[in-house]
Amino acid sequence: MRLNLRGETLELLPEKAFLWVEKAMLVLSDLHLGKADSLQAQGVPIPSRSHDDDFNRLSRLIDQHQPRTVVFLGDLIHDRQSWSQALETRLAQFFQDFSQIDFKLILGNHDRHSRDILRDWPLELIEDDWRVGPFILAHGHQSRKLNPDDFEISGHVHPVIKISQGPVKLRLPCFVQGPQSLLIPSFGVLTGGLEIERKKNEKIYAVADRKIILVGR
Amino acid sequence: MSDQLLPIENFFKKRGWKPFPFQRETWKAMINGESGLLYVPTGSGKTYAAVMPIFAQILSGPQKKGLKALYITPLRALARDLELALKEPIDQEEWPIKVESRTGDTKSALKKKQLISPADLLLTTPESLEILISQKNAVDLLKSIETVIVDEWHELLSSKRGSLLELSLAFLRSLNPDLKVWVLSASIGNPEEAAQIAVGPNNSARIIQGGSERKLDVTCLLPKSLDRFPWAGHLGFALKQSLSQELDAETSTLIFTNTRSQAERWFETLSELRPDMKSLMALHHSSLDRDEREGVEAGVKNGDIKWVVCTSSLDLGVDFQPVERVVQIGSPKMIARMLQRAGRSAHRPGGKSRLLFVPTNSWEILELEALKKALAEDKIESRHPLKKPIDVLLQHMTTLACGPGLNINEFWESLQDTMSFSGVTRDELNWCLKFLTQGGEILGGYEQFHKLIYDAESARYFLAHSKLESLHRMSIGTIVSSEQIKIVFTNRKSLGSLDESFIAKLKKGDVFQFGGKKLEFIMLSQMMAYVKLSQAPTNTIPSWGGYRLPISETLSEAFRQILNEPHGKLETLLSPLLKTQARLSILPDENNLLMETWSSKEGEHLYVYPFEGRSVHEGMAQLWALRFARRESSTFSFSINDYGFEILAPVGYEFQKYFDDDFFNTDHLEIEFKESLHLGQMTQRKFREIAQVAGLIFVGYPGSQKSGKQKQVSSSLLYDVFRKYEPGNLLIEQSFQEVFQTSLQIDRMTRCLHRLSGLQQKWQNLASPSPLAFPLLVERVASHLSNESLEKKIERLKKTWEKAEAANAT
Repeated sequence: MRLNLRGETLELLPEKAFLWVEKAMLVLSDLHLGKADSLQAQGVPIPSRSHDDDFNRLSRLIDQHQPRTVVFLGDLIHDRQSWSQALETRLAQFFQDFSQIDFKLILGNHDRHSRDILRDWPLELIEDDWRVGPFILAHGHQSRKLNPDDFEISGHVHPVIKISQGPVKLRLPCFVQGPQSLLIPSFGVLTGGLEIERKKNEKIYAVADRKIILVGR
Repeated sequence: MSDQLLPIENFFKKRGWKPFPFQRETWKAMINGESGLLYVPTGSGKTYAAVMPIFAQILSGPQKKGLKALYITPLRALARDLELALKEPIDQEEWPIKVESRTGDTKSALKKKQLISPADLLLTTPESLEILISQKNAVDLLKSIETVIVDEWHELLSSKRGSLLELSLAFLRSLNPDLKVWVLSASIGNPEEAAQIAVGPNNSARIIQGGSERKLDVTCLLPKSLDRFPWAGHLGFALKQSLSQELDAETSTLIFTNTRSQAERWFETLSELRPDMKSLMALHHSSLDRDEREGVEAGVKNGDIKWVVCTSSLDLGVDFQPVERVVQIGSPKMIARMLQRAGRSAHRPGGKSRLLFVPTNSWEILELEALKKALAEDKIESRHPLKKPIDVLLQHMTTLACGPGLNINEFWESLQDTMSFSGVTRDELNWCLKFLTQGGEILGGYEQFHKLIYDAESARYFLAHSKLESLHRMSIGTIVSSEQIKIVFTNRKSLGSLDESFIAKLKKGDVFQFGGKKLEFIMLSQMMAYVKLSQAPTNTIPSWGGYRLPISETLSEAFRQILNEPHGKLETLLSPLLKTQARLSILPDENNLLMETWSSKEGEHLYVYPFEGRSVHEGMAQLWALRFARRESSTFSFSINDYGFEILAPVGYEFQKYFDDDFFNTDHLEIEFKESLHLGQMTQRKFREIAQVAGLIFVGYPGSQKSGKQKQVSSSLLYDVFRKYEPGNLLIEQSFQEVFQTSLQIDRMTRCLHRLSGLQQKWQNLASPSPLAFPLLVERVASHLSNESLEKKIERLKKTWEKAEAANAT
């Protein structure tokens, strides 16, 4: 599904990311890597390899679209307890596999706990937001006043839309397009979601298995 | 021996009372060291039967400190009331006996004191007992216990609370092999089994029955004629005028409904019809604030409140001496429930219970006939223990690790001393242990899971750190509820609580009815919904997503028998209904199976009437749809009630053509059900409760401000992960088994299919829906069976949106 926003082409991908075609830039948000490891420490048995799916999907996306830049819109690492041996090994392997790519991380509220560790990894840390072309890329946990010309792209919310008609009831991750904003779904498999209430001037693009669909009213 | 009983005999003599034979029998049995079940109607003196021997033994024994007996009740309020009731003879006789209660209501300072210098007799709940076991000094504290009494055992034994209590009792028996366990039960179909569960499979149980069964006077509020009385529906407002005239302002009356929303509506209706009674009337259900409910209970006791509209929230509980009459709106669906409710009136030995039944539709008049028939034949439902609920097992293992430590061989021994868990295999126990120590099979060796750790010196497992201990103590128990939002006035006075999902739909200014009041929603903040009183009219009443109990097996059998029998005085009243059924279709009886087909604009309808209760019908509808789909693939939807089910197929589907005797086959039910898509959703919902009981999801500190959506980990996530990485996960298997056994009542379904296979099949094509089909047509549930993929479903949805949008555009 291709969107044309402020003269730029964004291709929404069913893997829960988007490609900024002109810049060859892949953008995704809220991986919450290491959430499984963190839960284990609290006595909840979620295996670390649950994150394999995140790494595999991301690797496939990079292979398929060959981006120059990959931007994480925050909450890459779940919390301080996430830094298990398993995660470090997996992450090192990932950055080695894609050493040609320019990685950027806009720090999210979750990443702040691991800022000092993240500095040692091959990715550029961006503190608040990043103005690039007509867009402001941000994590989305801080509300801001937008000027009429601004257009913000963010994550943080893990938006999910509930669709029900008759006996069919579905909760699907979604992109939410407002007049001056684009909200993108969380990429991580362990992240859950928040059901959003749709506003009048918003368009909802839901991720249904291998397809992006525009949700009707 | 009986010397010990002298103080008790004297106590009775002084008051001019004569012990009932069953009381004396119980006293002697207990003094003899026996265990067993006491089976008498409520209000006939069972408390004194059970407690007096404990007092006698304390009085005659050596004066030593320590806990000597437990009295376990399912309700906190009962523990508190009983404490007061028992202190009476103790104070009067100046017996040196200390009785205390310990429940969730007990102040924490007193709780701490109780751990250091315990009472002789402690009144408590199953959950509070489990919390005692989670204390580090549990062994020292509990090993001196000689007797345990469990009240209202019939309410506990076939629930997870009962299973947990079985484990607690086995633990107490492991500390004191001579422990006496006595359970008190209302009428039940299987007293022997009920007793055995309490005393453990290896001990003998004495069963004492006594007290004359109270006389029960059941009348039915009848409409003048059935012409204007509905064929379907559950509210029962057709008889609101008659009921309001029938009720007496001076008579203390409990008006039972089957659901909370029905109670809200009836309370409102009666307030409108009888404005004179407004200040003498109250509403009571489990979502209302506890202070409010206790206020109502006190009002009934002292006579300030005459009428209470209530739900099962008043099935159990404190003695209501003044109540003289009980009204039941809608079928109670169980003989035992009707007796229990009727028993809330005339709560004293020899009193006569009066119950007025208000049918909500024509067929319920017949249900009452069936109830009366079953009562006359002395039939009542049996209750069976659950089969090895693994979540409860994991919780209890964690409790032991929290307190005295978990030694796996001792624990294995104590499982053999229970009925619910003696079927657990060593492999299953090892799985549980691995689950708690390493996070189960799914985690690799490198993971950093921490819950239980092994202490080689004591050969016991303990919780990994003290934070986990306090988290566990807070989540002990098996009663799980959905996320609740407190409803408060702006001055923060609490009214009760409601489901998060209901509140989430409200907008500022919306008015809804709750607790008999009209409330305007102001805002939601920190898990509290602020409201103010409103005068605006409203039809919005919270919907509680409760599970509707099916008609019991005992009652449905009686119902099938009376369908075609003469109905005595009711003959004239019922004949229009039954004659219409016979005219439009066939009136089924015990010997035939009626299957009606009907074509409408919606498609082809198949109506089948096994009269086996909604749970069985839900499963059977899915099973038959699956079997039809295998013969000719299609998409079906269902509707169910207690009498039968409907399968709806697209136009042109020929049900009768594809039907054969294989539809009664029961050989591979489990495999067939696992194919069903709908079952997957049911299993996932069950897993939500199981994950909570098993301690995988921590619901939050009391009054915590986290909402359900903000929980660290959701049950659906755990469900997906377990299914993906560990096919043999016992909690997933348990979820499936619970759906299979409890929700669909598979054993009952198997018996039903066998029964149906022996009946004569009667196919009937309908010109218009029959009186039996009509309620099913009205109550179309959103069940669905198809083999369409997710994408296909969405495509289908999309087409309808596109149509709608095209229509808007023009």
